[in-house]
Amino acid sequence: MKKTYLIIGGVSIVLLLLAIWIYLLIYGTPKPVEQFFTDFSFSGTTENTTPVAVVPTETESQVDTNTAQLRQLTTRPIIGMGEYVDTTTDPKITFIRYAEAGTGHIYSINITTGEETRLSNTTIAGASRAEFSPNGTYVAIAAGYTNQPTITLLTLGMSTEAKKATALTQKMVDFTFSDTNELMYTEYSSSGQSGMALNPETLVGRNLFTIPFQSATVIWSTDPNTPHYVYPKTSSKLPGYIYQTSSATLKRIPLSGTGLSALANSEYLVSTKLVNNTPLSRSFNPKTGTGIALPIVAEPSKCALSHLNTEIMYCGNDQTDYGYEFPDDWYKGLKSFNDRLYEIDLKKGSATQLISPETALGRTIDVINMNLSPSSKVLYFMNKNDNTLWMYEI
Amino acid sequence: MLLRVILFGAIILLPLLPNTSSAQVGGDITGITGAGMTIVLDPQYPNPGDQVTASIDDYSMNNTGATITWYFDGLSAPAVTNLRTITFTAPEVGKTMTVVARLTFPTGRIIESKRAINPLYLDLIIEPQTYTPAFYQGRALPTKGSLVYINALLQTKDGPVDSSKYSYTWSLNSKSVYGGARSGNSWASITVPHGSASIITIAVQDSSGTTVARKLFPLPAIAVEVQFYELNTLLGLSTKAITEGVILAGNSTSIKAVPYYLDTRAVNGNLFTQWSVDNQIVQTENNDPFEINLNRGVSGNAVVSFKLRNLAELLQSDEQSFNVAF
Repeated sequence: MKKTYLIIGGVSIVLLLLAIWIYLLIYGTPKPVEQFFTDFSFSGTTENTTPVAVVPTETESQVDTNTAQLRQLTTRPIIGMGEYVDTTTDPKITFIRYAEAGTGHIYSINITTGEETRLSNTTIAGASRAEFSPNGTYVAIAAGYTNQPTITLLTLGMSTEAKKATALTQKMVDFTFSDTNELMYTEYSSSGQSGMALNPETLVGRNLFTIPFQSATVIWSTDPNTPHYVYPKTSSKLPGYIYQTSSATLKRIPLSGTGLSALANSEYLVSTKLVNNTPLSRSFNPKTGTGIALPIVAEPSKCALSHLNTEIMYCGNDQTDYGYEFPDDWYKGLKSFNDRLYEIDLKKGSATQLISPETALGRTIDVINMNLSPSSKVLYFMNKNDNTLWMYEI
Repeated sequence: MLLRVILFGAIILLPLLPNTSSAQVGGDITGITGAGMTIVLDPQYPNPGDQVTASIDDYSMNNTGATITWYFDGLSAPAVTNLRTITFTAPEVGKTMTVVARLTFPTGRIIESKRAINPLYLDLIIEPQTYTPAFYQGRALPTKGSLVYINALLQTKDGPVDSSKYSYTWSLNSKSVYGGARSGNSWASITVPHGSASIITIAVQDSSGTTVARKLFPLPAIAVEVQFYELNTLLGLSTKAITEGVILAGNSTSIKAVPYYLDTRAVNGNLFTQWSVDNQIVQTENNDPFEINLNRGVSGNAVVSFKLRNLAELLQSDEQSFNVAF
């Protein structure tokens, strides 16, 4: 072999090794092929309207784990949440479970570590509302943007897995879970609405009450000592009246007026109505027939009543002119509020500001779907501006 | 002394009775004694807990020099002695209050008039049959020419009465809706007249023909109102209305015009709808006439308008527009 060939071969090998070294220097070590090419799978996911129980577990850690009293829990728009405490661990771990808007995917956030885990990727197209059972086992998800959406009942595992998805046949107008984990709901009847309770395990229902009109808002009972109340849907231009419901009859509560809305616990009804074209809120004790004016506007979606003290309520409230069209214009999304959080004493009629999100974080929050942890130590709510989930440690 | 304390207490406490602001009453109005003197109540059939004004109507007699004494459930009210008009709080549902006005003349002659107030709740549940989107939590409102269902709930302290045992007389702007009283007719379907407001009147009689409750309500007639919302394929209709225009960040967006309070019979019926961009009528590609897709063109601004009219009821119409920056 000629010496020239040997030299050329050697230089080529050196150049090849040099090229490989430069390539690895720039692009790193090789990765699986699926990371270099787009997934050309044609199986759509968002079009799947048939709920299917799925297993996948996905762990992410994208939650802000800072320990400020007020903090944002999700960047995704959500449609419902529930707090769940895992009592099998020591110490007990508190999780937040929430459903993602549009897909119905369920996620769990470890409040301590901030770790977020996907519990279910059962896609429910058009998921618009979710209610979680207090024991963390069930979640009912409404899909569709009509007055009678389809409802899917998911059975969640305690750790990572959605066990079952059941498409319910009931045409539910409104729904929530009771403290005993029954799915309470209303459905239209020929003369109004019927209130029902469904056992999520057996799917056997029972009657709770009847309402002699269709355009109704139900204040669902959240404990054994509180009755269900009902009133005609709120309107700033039409009168409303509050009734206590039972299986046998309705009992009129002496609260009425235009723009009427309310929330309740075992001791108090907190109502808001227009007085001289201005929304005013009062606490009212149905047992004593006495009441007192409150210094803030208590829109039910912006408020939650304490589980520990019946005289305490928490609300988001904007110190502004609510106007004579309230709450119609707020329902329409024509108006938005810059809420602060307050603790309200229903007996004294006093309010104490807890925090101003704008002052604390520079964020404007229009509070909706306010609810309180079972321990009454944490407020959870959504920001109507982007439907993200927030928490405030009291 | 004890009697004076009791009477004073009664006068102080009467106005403090629980007050409800809009429930209706019923009234079992019993006899009136005294030649030419009556007690006039305003409202005539007060709600339980309402503030009620009682006046003496004695125009047909000469009562010069007479002393006026008022009694509530047999107790005199010295604080309102010699007042011809007084205000008090109606009792709660299920309780009866007897009001007596006594005129004592210098000659010793006495004339009395008595009214018994037995309030019942008469609630009018108004359910307009007009459109609102699913996310709207409030009640629909009546528009001119639309249907309104009204349910009259008459209630005692035990709950709603058996409506078949009562007769209901419905009136709209003083004209009878069903030609007169009808037994068990606690529900009415009314077409909203043209005009800014109409007066609905409902009177309820028991089996003896005695009016037990009556109520008037001004029924508003609202204009159809178009609002615009962005439509997201995944998330559906945004719940925030477009109030300050749209900035087209991507290549396209979909906008939906929502016709608040449009007659539900017309939503899928005889409608005229028209989209225009900068005053040029455009044909939308959607099957839904309330939806438009906006695609990015050259940079600039445009005014997008939507016009709506119910051809079966021409007063149900609206035209709105919004700005798009792209």
